[in-house]
Amino acid sequence: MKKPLSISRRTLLKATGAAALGIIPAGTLLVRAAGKPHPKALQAKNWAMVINAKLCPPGCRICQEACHKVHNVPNMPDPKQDVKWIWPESYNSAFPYETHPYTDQANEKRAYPVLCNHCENPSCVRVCPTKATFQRPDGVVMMDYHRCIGCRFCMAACPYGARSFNFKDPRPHIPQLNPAYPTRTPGVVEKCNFCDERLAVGQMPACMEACPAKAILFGDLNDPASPVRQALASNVTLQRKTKLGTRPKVFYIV
Amino acid sequence: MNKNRLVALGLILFVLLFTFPVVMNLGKSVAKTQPPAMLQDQKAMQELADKLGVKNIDEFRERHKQVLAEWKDIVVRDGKRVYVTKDGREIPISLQNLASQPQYCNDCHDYAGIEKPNCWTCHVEPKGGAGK
Repeated sequence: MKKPLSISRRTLLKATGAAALGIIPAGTLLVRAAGKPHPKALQAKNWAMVINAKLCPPGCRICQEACHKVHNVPNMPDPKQDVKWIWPESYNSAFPYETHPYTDQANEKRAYPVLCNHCENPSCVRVCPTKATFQRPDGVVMMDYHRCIGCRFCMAACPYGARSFNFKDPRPHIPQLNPAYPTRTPGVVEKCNFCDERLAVGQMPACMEACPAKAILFGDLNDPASPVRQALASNVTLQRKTKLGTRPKVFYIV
Repeated sequence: MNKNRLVALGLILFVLLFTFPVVMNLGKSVAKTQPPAMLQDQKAMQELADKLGVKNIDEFRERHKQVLAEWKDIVVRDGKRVYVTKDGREIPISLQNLASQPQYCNDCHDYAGIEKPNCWTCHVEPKGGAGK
């Protein structure tokens, strides 16, 4: 007589089920290794900045110099290959939708420090195909230079021109190398990171600390007691290009 | 008879051609098979493993690339600066600190016959450190 199959259908199904379940614990291996914040780290729910442009002395570039020095931003000789994190812009360029032919002449001549707005609805993050640009839970729009493939979609998407591309090796064009922060490599995009590396070890943004006029305020937008919220509550403020719906988190007192 | 000669000649040519890469590299490969002296320095190797937060140099050899990738994610994605190892130790995340010994990275990569680490195209190389 022929022997029946040694494994019953029921046993086979049970074994298959158990094997499938085995895949789930294997998947948990993908969970990131544990990290801990630096003991002095500054934390917030939603970082934001207020710039009181009324206090900006004409021709002052101290914030730019401080930022670019700390972050190893190069001085590229060709203006077409310019790399910038924070830079001065005229009123009409900074706020093109808030102008008319009769605006205050003195105001129009002033320079406004502009930078990445760390938007609440960032278009750069939406278009990035590799998630090299992403929004952190604390509201900082960050870049992971290791993942950037240099496609420049984010540069096309950003309505503020806040992103720069490294056409060439930036190293030879950095006047004074800061060993505490990496430089970039040809073929990646870069921008302001709201001084994430400084916040993480308990320091405020470099531009804010450097400003002699105390024109830059930084703090938690979700905290009503923060200097940012107090400035917003007691002044008329502008954001750049609000009608595009990006909800910028850099506010200007003009 | 003539055919035998041709076959022998062909065989010799074949053997010469086939062993050409081995013969050409005979002298050169010897130097590289000598492990760099630093690998013998047990204490220094353990220090290196401690800085990465792994058990010993064997685990360092096996996992350093993964741990470095984890470090990058913890810093860039989570904004944290301290690495917590599986056995609960807390290690400051610092490439500068990890690669502070001269030539360790390059010597070992060279010995293993793999590309030099490309960390230093962006991260600023520590003084007297890993080498280009």
